[in-house]
Amino acid sequence: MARGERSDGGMARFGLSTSREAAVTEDIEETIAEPAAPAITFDRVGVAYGRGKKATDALVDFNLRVAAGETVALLGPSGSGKSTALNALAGFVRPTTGAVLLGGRDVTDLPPAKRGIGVVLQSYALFPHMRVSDNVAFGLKSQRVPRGDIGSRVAEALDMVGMSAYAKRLPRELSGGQQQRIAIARALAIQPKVLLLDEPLAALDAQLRHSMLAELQRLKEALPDTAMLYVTHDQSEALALADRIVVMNDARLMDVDTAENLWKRPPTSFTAAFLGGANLIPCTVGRVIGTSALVSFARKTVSAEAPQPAVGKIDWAPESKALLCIRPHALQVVSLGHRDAVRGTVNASVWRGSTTRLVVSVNGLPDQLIDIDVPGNAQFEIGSEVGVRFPDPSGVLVQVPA
Amino acid sequence: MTALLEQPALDAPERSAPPRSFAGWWAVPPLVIVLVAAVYPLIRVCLESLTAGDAGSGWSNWAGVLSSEAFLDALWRTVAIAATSTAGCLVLGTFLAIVLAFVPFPGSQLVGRLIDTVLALPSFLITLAFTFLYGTAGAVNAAIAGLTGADSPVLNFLYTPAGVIAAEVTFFTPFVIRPLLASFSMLPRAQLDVAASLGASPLRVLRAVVMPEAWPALMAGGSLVLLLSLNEFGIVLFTGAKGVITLPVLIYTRGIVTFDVPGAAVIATVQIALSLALYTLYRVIFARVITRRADTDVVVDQAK
Repeated sequence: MARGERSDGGMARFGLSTSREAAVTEDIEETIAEPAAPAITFDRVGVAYGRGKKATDALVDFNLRVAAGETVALLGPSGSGKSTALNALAGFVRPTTGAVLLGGRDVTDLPPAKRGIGVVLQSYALFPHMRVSDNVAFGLKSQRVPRGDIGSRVAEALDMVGMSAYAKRLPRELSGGQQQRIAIARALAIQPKVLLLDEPLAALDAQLRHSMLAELQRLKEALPDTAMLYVTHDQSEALALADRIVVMNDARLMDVDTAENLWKRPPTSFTAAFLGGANLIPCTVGRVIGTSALVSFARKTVSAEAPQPAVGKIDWAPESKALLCIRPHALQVVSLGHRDAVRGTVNASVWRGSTTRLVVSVNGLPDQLIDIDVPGNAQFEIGSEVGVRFPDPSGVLVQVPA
Repeated sequence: MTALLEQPALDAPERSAPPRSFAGWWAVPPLVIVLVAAVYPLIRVCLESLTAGDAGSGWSNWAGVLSSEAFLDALWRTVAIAATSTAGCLVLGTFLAIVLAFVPFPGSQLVGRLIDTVLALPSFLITLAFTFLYGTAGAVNAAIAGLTGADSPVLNFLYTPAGVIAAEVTFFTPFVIRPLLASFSMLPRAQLDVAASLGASPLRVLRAVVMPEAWPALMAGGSLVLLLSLNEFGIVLFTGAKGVITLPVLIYTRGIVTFDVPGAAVIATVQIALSLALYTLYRVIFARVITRRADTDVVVDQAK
């Protein structure tokens, strides 16, 4: 980020409403005194694997602050660096640049055992030869918790994930969902201030994933002081759990904001496409009044939202190129004769249960296929002509990636 | 759909047995080779032990050999040397495997390869090398003599059971290292990471997480070493120690040197029985471990 924008960010900070948001805002100048140090701080963290010419960057200049009690999701495709960020914080990989801080203390050179972080991994990583209670007690014994307290704290942790009845089982006698609960209980037993979850639900089937998601939401409410970093490639998990979402791509942080803001006004085309799979239609900006604009594409003019970010300013100049971001469910399929419908041809139709995803090539947009979600099991012949109706305002403008 | 359900359910027609295959005949040549080349000589050895020797009938021959002091001494010595060597291999092998697997140092791969090559060398060569290293005129003694000015060699263990044990530990340790390294490499990295994040020191991770899971590999390596050291002949013969007579050496002396073939056959039969018993024990223990795991798995499936 440029110097000017940084100072802008400092100015904009005074306009923010809650103190929590202030504490977690990115790019705060070092000189500004914090009321309380954030639970997690990534300070220009970079991680590279390999050496010399073979070195590949797994994480580049990663900055993030997470307040105590806040849940932040790292969302991105595989290989985007989200797990690397988590591993750097846990101490499993050593950053090549920058520093990681816990509660304001630099822990970059501390071994994982000295960091006191709870870690839950996709593969559960339970100790197969230990009974459930021993698995949960492992951290307590390692930290030399008095023997008399271990039993009650194990019971407490197991109760928290609803697995009290399984204390005497071996991990292999449990289902995947149960094993993951034990892994969570094991991480919570040491009462960490920071809980890291690396794709905890990725190995579970869809139905179990939904029930576990609800369980994690409940757990989040039960742990109001624990900062959570939740790595996932599944946007629904991020939307359901996170106070803020960090969108990552190609070893870099793309965007960070609340789920709602990222969804409604995606700052980048990558976020727009990754979070909810929006259609990005190239368009030309016409008149701009405040935060609304008239844009034109395919010989059609529609109104759109022209957002201004909290930090910095985007110049939606007339006649400039932009992308119009429209969610598939916002578009409607209407009859051909409809007043303001655009003519299109159905390329594919996939029934997804509650909706049917149509892929339509719209006249006047030769290189662009538009995704439309139609409720129910809509039957469309491939190749048939339909009318596509854009809502008003039709969508939100996103800058063309440089 | 409903109309179909109302019809009486007919059993699916049974398939006739598959046509006879002659593939089974492929098993005959290897079976014949095993019978002729391995089983028949062993049976002959056992039968030979029952033939009447100079002492009288076959059974008196057995009684005479089994009660002889030379045999009992050799039996005790064999078991003691094998057990001590195995213990030594387990300790040294575990230590080396842990270092090779978990302590990154440049050249660790090369060391691993070198350890592998020990497996390719003949066992008596180790003993020969030992003579040059630790023998009375060997390098170590020369160095000590140079330092202290002592006249008589300080190290003089090579021609004792300790020398045999040292050579066997050196030669058989790779048999423990290999399965352990394989088992360590199967250990999920995630388990070690999580254990560390929970506050466990490396030593605790090793003791509480790594070793319990490497236990079967350690047992497999240990049983193999016990079996091999029980039957080791070359190392014992090459030390040339007069006092160290194990069962294989005794068989050699009786059968080849003094031509007491029935007596040698008796000891050989004991050796075969010992080896087979140990092997059976090893299989039984392993089967137990595996079935116990399978049992718990079955219980889980029912519980679901």
